[in-house]
Order: sequence, then structure tokens, then C-alpha cells
Amino acid sequence: MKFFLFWLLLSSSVFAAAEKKQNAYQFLKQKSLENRPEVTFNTYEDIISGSLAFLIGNIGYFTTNSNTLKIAFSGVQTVGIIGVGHGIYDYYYPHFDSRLLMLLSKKKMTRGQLSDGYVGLLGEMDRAKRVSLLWSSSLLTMQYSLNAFVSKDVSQDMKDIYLFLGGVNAIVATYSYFHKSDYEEYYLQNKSSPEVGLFVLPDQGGIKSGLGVTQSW
Amino acid sequence: MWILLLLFSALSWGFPVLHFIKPESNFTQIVTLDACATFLITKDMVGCNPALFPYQKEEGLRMGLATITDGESVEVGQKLLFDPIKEEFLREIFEEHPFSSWGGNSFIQLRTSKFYLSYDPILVNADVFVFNPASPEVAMSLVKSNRLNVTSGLEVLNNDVLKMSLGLKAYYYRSEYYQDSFFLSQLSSQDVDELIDFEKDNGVAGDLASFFQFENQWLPKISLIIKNINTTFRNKESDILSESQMRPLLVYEMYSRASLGYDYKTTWGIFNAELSSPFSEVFQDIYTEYIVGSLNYSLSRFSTSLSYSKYQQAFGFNFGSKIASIGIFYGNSQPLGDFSQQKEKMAGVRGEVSL
Repeated sequence: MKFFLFWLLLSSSVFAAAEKKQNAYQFLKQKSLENRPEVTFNTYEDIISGSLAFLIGNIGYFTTNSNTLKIAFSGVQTVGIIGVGHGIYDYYYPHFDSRLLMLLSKKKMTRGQLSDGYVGLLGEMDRAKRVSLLWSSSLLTMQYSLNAFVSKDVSQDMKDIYLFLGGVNAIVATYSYFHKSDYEEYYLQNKSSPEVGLFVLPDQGGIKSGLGVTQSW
Repeated sequence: MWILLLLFSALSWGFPVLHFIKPESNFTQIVTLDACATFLITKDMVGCNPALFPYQKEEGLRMGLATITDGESVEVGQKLLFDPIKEEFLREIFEEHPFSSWGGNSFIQLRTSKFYLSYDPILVNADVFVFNPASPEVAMSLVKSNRLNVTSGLEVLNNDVLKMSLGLKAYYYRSEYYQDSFFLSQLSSQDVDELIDFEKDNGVAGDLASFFQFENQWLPKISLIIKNINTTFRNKESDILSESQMRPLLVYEMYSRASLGYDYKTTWGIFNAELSSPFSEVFQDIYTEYIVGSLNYSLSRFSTSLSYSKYQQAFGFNFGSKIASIGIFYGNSQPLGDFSQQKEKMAGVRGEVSL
């Protein structure tokens, strides 16, 4: 009986260990498929729907005479801008599982290449967060300033609230513009080296050519 | 065969009053006048039709409220429900605005993959109609209630031809209501408190829903819903206390609804269309005057809807983010139907926060 139990435990642990060792990569492959971002319509759907909210919110805010509806449309403007920011975040954010899987799938991957890929991935993730925050804060600053100064029937209390919110978002936007994480700095250093190349373009009666420099940031 | 036996009837008793905001109405229900039972892709689909529960994916905690914010009746309705009613106020209504109607609801809802659990702390409807200039009479319907609801559903059939699902919403309700009428001249000899005596009621009721979706895209989606089963509210002619009694229609009493819908999905959004008809009790008399057609467009977190029926029209748009959504709706109605030509224009807001 004791020998049987011992044999059962040993075979279970060997089997489990073998299973665990074999399936980690398969597990990552499976999770990367499951965790793909859900796009119901198109890649820009959040940006488009946020922009529609932003547009309708502004039309409604500046045309209605009702104070309650003005506040509601102001909420719509804010939600729309948050939607645009979310759309920008989704656009720039890399799919972590898939990218890691891509790195691990390469044959003859060196330690340097793996580190480069992994650090670049973290840099892209930080960049997505920063760019999204920059855009949404900047748009909110502009929106609240418009609400405070352009609209005619806004009470002084509401103006003060809009100016306060606009000021807070201006600070956040400024911080987002200048502050980059270490990972993002590293990612941008590798990606933002200026590229020099020849170009040839059609021109009136012939062609023109020259030397071009491109810089992305 | 049972379809041939349907009786076509126009309501001819008391004052049936139409409302935009009903208990637990979500944004889509308000703007489509409840003609949204076949809209599969919206976040409000389970509220529109419990049988769509198997197709929902959202989980979490949500809370929100809906109210009419602009319109001639807003101030009157709020005063009727939340302030002591005085004789001078009623005489003022008679002179300036004989008919007023207002409503609002609120909710907190827990969404899981197995069921929804929600509590509606405040559901209110206030209607007052002061008529008959020779001897002014006040017909009033004031309802304040709260509910605890559980909703769930399952797919019972899924093959190459047809998908079918069933859904159930069960709720416990507690209500305070006044639905009666009195002459304005009675106020000279009696206090308002003696004339307007709120009754209390509580009980358990529920909605039973079914949904049919054919694989053939040319065939419409079909929904059949029976609402407020086992409720004590009645709107039958035999239950009416007087000819001038005012009662909200298609809100608290047992009724049913049949809907046909189509949708068209593109890269730039999805379009839904539905034709919906209410019936008395369990698909007995069809209310031809309250048939509704609705259209809805959705893209990601933005949606816009409009609806049309003989006495009510509505239009609105809803915008959401991950944590909040806000909807604004506009409505035009003839709340008393053929009993009064008075029209009401209103605007309202529905806000939600997700946690």
C-alpha cells in the first residue's frame, strides 16, 4: 500500500512538472490570443465616438439656454474628451503578450536583442500613457477655457469652476509634455535618430531631387 | 391562429397618461419609448429585454439617475411630490398650466456574469390635470416607489436556424400612491391632506422575456415580453374608480410587448431599427395607438436614438467612458392622448457612474 502511494505521488509530481515545463509557452500563446484588444468596428472607434461627443457637447452647450442642460452638455464635452484620450491610448499601447511572444519566438535571440525588445516595449507603454494624458488634458484645458470665456450666460460660480478645472488640466498637460519616464527616453532615443536619405519627386516639366532629413518624436 | 383573435381596441376610460421615464428605464428605453428589445449590441440591452442577458459581457457596479430637467411641468411635478400640496398651488395650476407631468428614477446595480442585482431607491411619477372650467376638477396620479430587482437569463436554443433565449426579472416593490380626483370647490370645506390620502402597497412581481434571432439575416429578430406579472396595479375598465381617474399607462400595470427588429453593422457603427407594439395583459388587446418605431446608431461608446409613436416622439444621444456615461434626451408628447390636445416639450438627463 505504501509503495503504491509512493509510486502514485512520484508519477503525479513528475507528470505535473513535465506538464508545467512544457505548457508555459503555449499558455502565453493562448493568453495573447485571448487578451487581444476588442475592436468592434474599427481601430479609431473610440477617437471617433469621443470626437462626436466633443462636437455635440459644444453645439449643445453654446446653443441651449437652460442652466441644467449646460451642465449636462459640459459633462458630455468632458466625457467626449476622455473618450478621445482613451482612443489615443489604445492606438499607441502595444499588445504586451503578443509582442513578448514575438520576441520569444525569434530563433537565435541574443541577450542584447531580448533586452532591447523588452525595454522598448516598456517604453512604448509609458509613451502611450503620456501621450493620452497630454492630449486629453490639453483638450480639457481648451474646452474649459472656452466654456468660461466664450459662453454668455454662465454664472460667476460656474466660471470659477471652469477656470479651476482648466488650470488643473493645464498643469497636468504641461507636466505630461515635459516629463518622460526612463523607459520612454530610452525608447525614443533608439527610435528618434534622424534619418538622412535621398529623395526624388516629380516637378513641373521634370523631376527634382535632393537630400532629406526626417525626425520623429 | 391566436393572432387572428386579437381585438383591436382604443382606450376609452379614465385618463391614461403616457410617461417617458418609467421604473428602471435606462437611456435607450427612454429615447426609444421602450422599442429596444431587439437591440443586441447596446450596453442597455438587458434593461430593454432580460432575454438578452446571455449576450451581455459587462460586469461591475453602476449607479445613476434619470430625470426630466426642462419643460413646463418640471417645477409643478416636483412640488406635488416633495412639498405639501396647498390650495393656492392647485388654483395656480388650473389658471396657468392645467396639465403637468414629471418623472424620475435612480438605481444602483451590481452586474455579474450570472445575474444582475439592483436597487432603485427612488421612482417617481407625478401627473395632475385640472379640467372642466364650469366646475373645476382635479385628477391626480402621484406615485413614489422603490424596488429591489434580480435579473437573469439563458440561451435555450442555438442551432443553424435559430437562437432563442429567455430572461426573467423579479422584483420586490413598495409604493405610495394617490390616483383619484376631487372638485376644486371641495378645498373650501376640506383640507388638502383629507382629500389626498396616499395608499401604500407592496408585493413581488416580475417580467418574463423571450428573444428569437434567425441565422437568415432577412428574417427579423423577435422579442416577446410580459411586464409586471403579479402586480397589484390595475388598468382595466372594471378597476377604474371614476371616469376622471388618471392612471399612468404602460408603466405599473401588467402588459405585454411584441417587437420586430433589424440591425445593420458597418465599419463605422451599427444601425438598429425596431417596431414595437404593446398589448393589454398577456397579448390580449393590441394598443394600436401606442405602436412605436425606433432607430438607433451606435459606435463604440456613442449612441444616438430617435423614436416615433402617435402621441410621443423622442430623440437623444448618449456618451460614455469607462467610468461614466451621460445621456441627454428631448421629447415631445401629447400625454393625455385624445383626451387633451395639450402638448408637452421636455428635455432630460440620464447619468451613470461605473465602479
